[in-house]
Amino acid sequence: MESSASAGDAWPRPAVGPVRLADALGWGSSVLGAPMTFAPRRFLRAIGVQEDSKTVAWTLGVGVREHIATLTVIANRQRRIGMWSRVAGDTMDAALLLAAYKHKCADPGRLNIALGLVGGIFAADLYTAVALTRAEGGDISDGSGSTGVGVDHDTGGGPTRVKIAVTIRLPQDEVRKAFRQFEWSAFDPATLEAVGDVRFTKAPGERGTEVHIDHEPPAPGGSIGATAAKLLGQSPDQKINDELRRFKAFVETGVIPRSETSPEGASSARQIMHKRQPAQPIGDNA
Amino acid sequence: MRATCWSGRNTVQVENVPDPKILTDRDAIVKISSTSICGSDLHLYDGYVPSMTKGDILGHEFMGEVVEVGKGVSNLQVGDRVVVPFPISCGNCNMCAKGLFSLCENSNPNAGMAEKLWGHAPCGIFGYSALTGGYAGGQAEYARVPFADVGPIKIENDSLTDDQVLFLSDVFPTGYMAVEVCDIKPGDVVAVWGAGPVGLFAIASAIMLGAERVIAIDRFDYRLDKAREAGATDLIDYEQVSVPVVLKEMTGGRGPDACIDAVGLEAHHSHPVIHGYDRVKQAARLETERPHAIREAIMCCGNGGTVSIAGVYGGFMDKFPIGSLMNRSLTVKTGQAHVHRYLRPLLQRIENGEIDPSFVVSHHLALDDAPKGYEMFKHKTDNCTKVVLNP
Ligand SMILES: NC(=O)c1ccc[n+]([C@@H]2O[C@H](COP(=O)([O-])OP(=O)(O)OC[C@H]3O[C@@H](n4cnc5c(N)ncnc54)[C@H](O)[C@@H]3O)[C@@H](O)[C@H]2O)c1
Ligand SMILES: [Zn+2]
Ligand SMILES: [Zn+2]
Repeated sequence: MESSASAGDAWPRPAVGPVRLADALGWGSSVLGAPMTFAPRRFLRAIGVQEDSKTVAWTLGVGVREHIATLTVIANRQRRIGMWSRVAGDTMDAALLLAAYKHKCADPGRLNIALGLVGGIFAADLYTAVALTRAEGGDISDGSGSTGVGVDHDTGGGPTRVKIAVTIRLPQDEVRKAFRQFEWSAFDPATLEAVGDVRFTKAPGERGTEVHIDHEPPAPGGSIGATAAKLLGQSPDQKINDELRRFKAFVETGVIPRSETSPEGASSARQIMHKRQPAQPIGDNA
Repeated sequence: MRATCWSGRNTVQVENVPDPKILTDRDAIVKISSTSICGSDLHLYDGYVPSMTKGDILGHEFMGEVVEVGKGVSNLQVGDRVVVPFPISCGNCNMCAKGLFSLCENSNPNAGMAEKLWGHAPCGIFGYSALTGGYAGGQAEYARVPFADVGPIKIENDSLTDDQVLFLSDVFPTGYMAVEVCDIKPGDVVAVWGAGPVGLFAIASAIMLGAERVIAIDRFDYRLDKAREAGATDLIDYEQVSVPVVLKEMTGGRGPDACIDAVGLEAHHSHPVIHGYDRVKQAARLETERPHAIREAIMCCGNGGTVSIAGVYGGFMDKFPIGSLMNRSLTVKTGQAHVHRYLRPLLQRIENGEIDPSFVVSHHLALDDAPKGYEMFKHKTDNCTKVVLNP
């Protein structure tokens, strides 16, 4: 494995920006949704719209939608979906405000400010949604923001979510480089980095580099399929686990350690099915 | 080739199996000249270690001649005479770098299984169940040795016999480490439970490391005789006397400064009711251990002393005297031996004539007689202390 001290500098930083922004906007939804759901009349006064049963009902509805957005982005970590629905919501809000401008305006000055705010939020939401979609290739479910093991202990997510870390006795730049070059079958390393699902940090005490993966690969067959696959050691998260072990061994030792019962190296499937194969040299016809 | 295969509880068979092949660049193939049966093999034989599969090749103490090397093994050549340490260690990871070779992070491809049982995984071990990697063992004509550039030690002195160097693979370093971790000071009294090969090497090492008195505890007279030969100053037959009472008396009421458990999970108790209690729980899998020796070692250890556990344990036990341990400032030291770090210094001691490890050998058998060797060693018949198989 070639090594160079400067390789790490040229390395693009993972796209944590959009993920952080999505989380901020996700929380912002509820900050905005709270007065709409708990004090809709005061909220209408604040944005310069007349209070009647119709405008109050709309305000309540939009407030609930804002809370749902928070749940989607923060609790379910469906950032991409959450952001695109926010874009749709912003469009609806703008239409509502424009309608109010025509028919139910109480204070045009305030309404103008409200319209301007919605425009700004729309721009931020659209930017974040596009950035997340680009980063994820548009076809991978949302990962987490990887704010760090021991910092946020969120254990949510679907049945395939993997939160795992290894320490590799090599400097960060070499580990990052090797991570890119290793033949992963469980994920695309560049995508993982781009969405911030993998982090490299210095291990304390001259022990090299910690590699943290927090990733939720798609679960074919949903949670039932994933659970069934798990019993056979075949689910996507187990695959990531195995490959991370092989990666560590390969980077540190230059080989993938093989035993007679696990000739391919670490393998959850083998471990579960180990009874099938005794620890004997593998014959030519095997 | 011929190989000793586990074929269910209390049975091994010597079978024809495929010859080993190089699987990675850091492998070597060794043609085995001598290989021995270890107390650890008995735990597999007796069925106390989970994750065994019928057909698993046993054996982790072996030596022989290098007959093939992988591309990445530059320090060995075909024809070299080598002793192979039982832990498989990469030499590159953080644990190997610290000299904790039996905790190598890369050599156990089944680490995930071990983590479920133990939280974190130890290294891969030859012929020692799927939990420690599922590697084929060395009670065979040939063995594949992974990370052969790190483990095997070349024996260049042809005047040393196999019996003199074979035990560098395991029991000599194991016994030595069990004492070394106790940090023996002049005047210290060491008590050793179990006078099997591990206990015998612990006794010899305690003398080498400067202990004042070394007390051997077992129930087989012929093994206690060997303990005397190894240098023990006092012998206790635990079936004849109460060990705690005698140890207290022998040490002026203080208790030994270091207590070494060289027995492990299949201990025997002189009191049939107590033995029966743990035996039944073990058989019913309510506890995995029969922990008489370790319980006694803790209770007997002098205040502020060290309890060193060389005997192997697998899972869980009850009635562990944690109160005695805590209230009396005892230190516990343990681990599968980090064999690699003792190879050179102990070979040096053998060459210097400070110790001749061949004294533990009681039987030489042909490889095909391995089943007989297991039975003798298990039941301690025919004054059996150590069986060496010569393929
Ligand atoms: N830590 C390691 O790296 C390592 C390496 C090799 C062996 N071991 C372990 O060391 C232990 C001993 O191995 P061995 O090859 O010497 O086995 P062994 O079976 O030859 O010796 C065990 C001895 O303990 C005696 N014994 C049983 N119950 C006793 C009791 N209550 N009090 C005192 N003595 C008692 C037996 O009579 C026997 O002589 C085993 O558990 C083995 O697995 C550990
Ligand atoms: Zn052994
Ligand atoms: Zn290692």
